[in-house]
Amino acid sequence: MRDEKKKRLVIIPAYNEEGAILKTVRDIEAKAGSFDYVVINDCSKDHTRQILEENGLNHVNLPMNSGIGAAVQTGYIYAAENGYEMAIQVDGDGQHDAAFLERMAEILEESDANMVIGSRFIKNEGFQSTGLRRMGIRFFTWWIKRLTGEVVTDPTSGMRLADRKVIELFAKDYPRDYPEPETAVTVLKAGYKIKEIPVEMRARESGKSSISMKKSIYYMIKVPLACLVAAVATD
Amino acid sequence: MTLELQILVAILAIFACVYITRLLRTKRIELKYVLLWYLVLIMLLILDLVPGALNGLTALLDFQLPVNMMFFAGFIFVLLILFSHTVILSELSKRNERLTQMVGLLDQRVTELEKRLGETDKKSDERDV
Repeated sequence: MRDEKKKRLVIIPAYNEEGAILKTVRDIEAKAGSFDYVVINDCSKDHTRQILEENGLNHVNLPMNSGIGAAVQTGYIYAAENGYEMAIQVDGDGQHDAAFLERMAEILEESDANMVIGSRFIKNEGFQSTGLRRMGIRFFTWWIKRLTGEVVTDPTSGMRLADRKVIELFAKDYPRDYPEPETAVTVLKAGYKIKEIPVEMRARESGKSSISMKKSIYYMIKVPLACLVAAVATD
Repeated sequence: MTLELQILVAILAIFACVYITRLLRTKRIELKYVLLWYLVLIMLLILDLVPGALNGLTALLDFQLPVNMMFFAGFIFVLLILFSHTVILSELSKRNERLTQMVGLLDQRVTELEKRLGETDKKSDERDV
């Protein structure tokens, strides 16, 4: 009998998401039935692991806290090793609405795009993020256009669906922190196509945002530089 | 400070920048750890090339000669970078130790599983007889 495993995977990085993780997974099972999922537990200090085990949720436990980049890359390695043809990242905090996943998958299959990004800023509906952040996001849209010539309206969106080729690209190399703008550049520079579709995101359900003032400064120095490096990288 | 020394420092600093950038492009080093090097090299170039910067700092800190100031500044920069390495090394060694422990524990679990698998194989062998 043929293996029942599906060809689509949802990667759910989770760090201290005991409040939202079960709901996020059930939401995905309900609204994105054609997808498998895997939760990457980045060594959470709260009860995330117990919740995952007690409810029999498919997950990987990292032995040490390694950050969002390493966690998500673990998901891409998992996708590559298990032969998935597409993989999408969905945050464990409930900000991403699983209702858009099937639609994104359809679009990826129909078009010649290698990656589909869910953008908050095409139709500007739903949670639009805070003022200062929006300015930062607009900066990155401009910066990525300067570096690659392409327009990405929501370069920090974590809602991105990758095809087989991009999965292998990410499994090989993925940024350690704040990966979204940088990987958009990497994907475009590798000659792959990105297509954006309008999505709505929700405000964070529980837990705290992980970006503080000091981190914001580091972010605004490191990430644009990292995009530049990604644009001129040769390997 | 003589013009020759100024030019020498500038060439070395620029060469270092170019080399670091090359390593970055071929992904042999991480941007996160290289930021401090860039900062240091840029500050060195400023002290070297901006007229008055080095002399101003020399007078401020009461050094005898600008060239002394330059060496001292270079020394401090190197200490800063060394210290950042100490911090990074500490974290790496912690992670390494934890990974070693995990491997040991996983090994133990695998051995247990192998044992149990061996026993069930034996049991089903006995039943087949």
